Amino acid sequence: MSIEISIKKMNRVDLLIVVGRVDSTTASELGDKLDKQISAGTVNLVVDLAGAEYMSSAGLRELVGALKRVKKDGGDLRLSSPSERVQEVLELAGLNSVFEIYDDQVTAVGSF
Amino acid sequence: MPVSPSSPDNSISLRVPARLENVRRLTRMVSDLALQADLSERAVYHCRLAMDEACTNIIEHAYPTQDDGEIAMQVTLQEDELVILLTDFGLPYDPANVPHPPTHAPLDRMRPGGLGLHIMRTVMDDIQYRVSNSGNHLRMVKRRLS
Repeated sequence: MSIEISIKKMNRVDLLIVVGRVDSTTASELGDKLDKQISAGTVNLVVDLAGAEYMSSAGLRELVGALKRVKKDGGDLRLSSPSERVQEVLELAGLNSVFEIYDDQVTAVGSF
Repeated sequence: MPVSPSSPDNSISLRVPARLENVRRLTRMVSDLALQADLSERAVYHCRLAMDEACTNIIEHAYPTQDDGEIAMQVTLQEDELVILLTDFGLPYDPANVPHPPTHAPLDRMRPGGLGLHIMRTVMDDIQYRVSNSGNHLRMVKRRLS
C-alpha cells in the first residue's frame, strides 16, 4: 500500500484521512482528492495525517495549493496529528506558521 | 536486484531510467544502507527525504522533455558518514543557483519551486554539485552523528 485517502463529511467540515506515504509518486492522488472536495463546494477541510508516515515537498505543494484555494473562498484547511517526522518537514518548509495544526482529529474538526 | 555484483557490502551502485516509479526504489536502497550503518531513525528519514527530492528534481529539471533519461546512483558507507552520489546526463541544474524559497512567508507569497531543494540542503550535512563531461553529479553527505 502506498497511500489511502478516506473522506468523512461532517456538519461544517470535510475530513480527509491520509494513510501511507505522500511522496512524488502519490502526491497527485492527494491533490486530486482535495481538488474534488473543493470543486464540489467544500471550503472547510481537515487533513488528518496520523497515518501519513512520510511526506515530501510534493505533498506539501498539494496541501499549500488547496489551502490557497479554500482561503480565497473564505474557508480553511487545517491539519491534525502529524507524526514527529512529518511535523519536522512542515517546520523545515516554514508551513507550521501557515497551517493551523492540531494534536488530534477531534480538536481540528471542532475548531471550525 | 540490479546492484552491481562487484559492489562491496558498504557500497551500492546502479543505474535506472529517470522515472517517478523508480524514485521509491532508489530511496529504499539508500535508507536500507543507512539503517545498516546505524544512522538514527531521524537521520535515515532525512536521507529518504533528500533522495526523494533530489531524484524528483532530476526528473523534472534535468529531463524536462526527455523520457529516456537515466539516473546513476552510488551510495557508499564510510566510517562516519553516508555518501550519496547521483549522476544524470540531462540539462545541468545547479542547486546553488536556486534561491531559498520564502519559508515562513505569507501564504500569497509562497511559491512551489525550490522547496524540495531547501529541504535537501537543510537535512543533509553537505551538498555539492559538479558538471563534467560524464554528467551532472550531485553529492550529498549525511554524517553518522548529525
